[in-house]
Amino acid sequence: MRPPLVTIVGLLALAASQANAAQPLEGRWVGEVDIPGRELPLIVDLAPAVGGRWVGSLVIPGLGIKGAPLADLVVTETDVSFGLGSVLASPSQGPAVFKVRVQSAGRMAGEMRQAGNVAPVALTREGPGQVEVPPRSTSVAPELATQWSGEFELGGYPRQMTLTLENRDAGGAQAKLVIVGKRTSDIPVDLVIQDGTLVRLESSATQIVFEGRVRQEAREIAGTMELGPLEIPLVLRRVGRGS
Amino acid sequence: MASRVVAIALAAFSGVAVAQSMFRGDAAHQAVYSTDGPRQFHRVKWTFPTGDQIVSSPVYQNGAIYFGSDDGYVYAVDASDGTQRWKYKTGGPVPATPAVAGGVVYVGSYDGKFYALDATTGKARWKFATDGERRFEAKNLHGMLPKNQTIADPFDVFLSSPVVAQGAVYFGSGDGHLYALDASSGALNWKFKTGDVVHSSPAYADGVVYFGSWDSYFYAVDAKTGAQRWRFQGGEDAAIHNQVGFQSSPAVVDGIVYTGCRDAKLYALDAATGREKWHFDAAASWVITSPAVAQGKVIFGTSDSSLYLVVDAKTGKEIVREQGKAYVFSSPAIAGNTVYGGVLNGTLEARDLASGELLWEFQTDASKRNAGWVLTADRRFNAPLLYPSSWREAPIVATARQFSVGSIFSSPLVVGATVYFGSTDGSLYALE
Repeated sequence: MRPPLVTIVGLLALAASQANAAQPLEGRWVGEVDIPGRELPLIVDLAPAVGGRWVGSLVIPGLGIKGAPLADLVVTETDVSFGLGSVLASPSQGPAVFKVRVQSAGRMAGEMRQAGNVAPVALTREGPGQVEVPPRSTSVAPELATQWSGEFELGGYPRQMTLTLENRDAGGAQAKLVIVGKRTSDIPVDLVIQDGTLVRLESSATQIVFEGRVRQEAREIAGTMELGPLEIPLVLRRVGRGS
Repeated sequence: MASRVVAIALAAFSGVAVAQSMFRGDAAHQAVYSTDGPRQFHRVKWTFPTGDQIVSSPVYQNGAIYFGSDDGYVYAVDASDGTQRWKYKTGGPVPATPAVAGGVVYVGSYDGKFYALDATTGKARWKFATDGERRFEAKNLHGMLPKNQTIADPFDVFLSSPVVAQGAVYFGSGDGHLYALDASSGALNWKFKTGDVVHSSPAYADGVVYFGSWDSYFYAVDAKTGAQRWRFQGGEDAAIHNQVGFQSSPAVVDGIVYTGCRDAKLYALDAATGREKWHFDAAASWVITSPAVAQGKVIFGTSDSSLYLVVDAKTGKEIVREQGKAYVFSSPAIAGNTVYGGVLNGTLEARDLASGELLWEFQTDASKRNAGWVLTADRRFNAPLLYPSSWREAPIVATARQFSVGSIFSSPLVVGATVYFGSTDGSLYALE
């Protein structure tokens, strides 16, 4: 016996509403931040993860931001709040923060705080979430897990860079990066990747990237350092013995 | 009657013009005004709107304020009530400061011409065509991408402002020359070639003209002949051309030339020999402001580090350091015990000369509106929103946005108890 069409539609609707009831905030949320004089398009992807946690990422096309991980993400039945870590952070005012609340099915609204300024945010659900998983640090070869040092010139002044690589028990390698010029700067490193002879470090907060090849039987890593738009040749030489 | 007119004209041209009638007050650019200026902010006396941003600094003579606007006009405005006396249309933006001497207003325009206008009527007396204006430009400038693209510097905002002395008018040009013209006829006396854009405003003292060029050199040239007396080299930056060039204009006081430089230093040079007496290291931050000099102190500001600095004129030793909020391109002006200066976040500041303490500040409406969140809530530039990319036009667009908050490039003029300055919101302000 064929069930009547109306029954099928009704069952599908019920299933969808139950799914939404279970995870009403999962999905791709598209909208904008209504900054006075500059509407900023915004895409937020949210998805439940294991252990009742949530993960999310964000796209702001006008600012070159794609797949930025959501930090301090808190999702309740009606509210979502998150920060952006170093993305859009202001040195004097801290990280950018979003707080939105469900207004009706498929609609959220709230505010964005950035650099001490506050503007309304409106989001509409437009399909399933496409959360980007941020790349993770790999471990590095034991001979690389040591201290490295190199020199470069910037703005007419010599700078000394010291890099210390260390493997953690879990979560790949971590790096301590210090640049000494007129002053000493500790550079926070988000990402350490070794892929064969290629080593890459990224610091999103400072826009510093180092990429080099391991050479000379792991006595040096030769490559370039990108400081924002600047590209500077840099050879790091092993100082320590390696782990 | 004719002889009396000649006598007055000769008097005006025979020495240095009076102290409010050219950029930085007088020919030596000391930027010290013979008045006290307001120690407290009372009110906006008047504003005078123009059709585009005002980068030019106002000057004063005989009850009138003279200035240029990027709308292409040179304006004469009544100092007391802000009503327009006349305006004169040039062929391009006028981010230069006029000089007034002998009843004539002298000023250059981006159209590549230099104008002499009747100070009373605004009618042209004569015009002189240079080899043409242009901005400083370079490949990979400030790290802008693509690397092989030559890009005009969006921070090369000023044109050289003329100095009038001994019957001649001197000014720099984007064509790389310093020009000396006969002040009464506009005839070319001589021109001196440098290696790049000259937008520094020349200072004059004791028969010598002092100015800097973007070719990394600072020059002293004989005012009569145009012969080089000496030159001094500042820093160079072959990679991204960021830390090179004299955009600041010099002040000459007691045989010492003080000038800022994009190599992040303020220099004190012996006016006779060009030998460096000392330099102050501004920690990688441009010194675009022209220094003010008074009471044995040199006062200047810095760009990225946003500092207000006072150093000892003899030794260069730091006396006052105040952390500001945004880039300082506006050259400080001293009136009595108060120092006035503009900030690119759209704020005019009044500070105590002795202590550097902020006495009062005035914020333009554009700065208060903060459209597009150009500024943080505490009025610093909101870099993450402004500069998302170094590619193609993005940094240029960002710079234009940055200047949308009523930025004050203009050096304040103090007449009586009133402070005058221009803003990128297009208005000339009179505060008291």
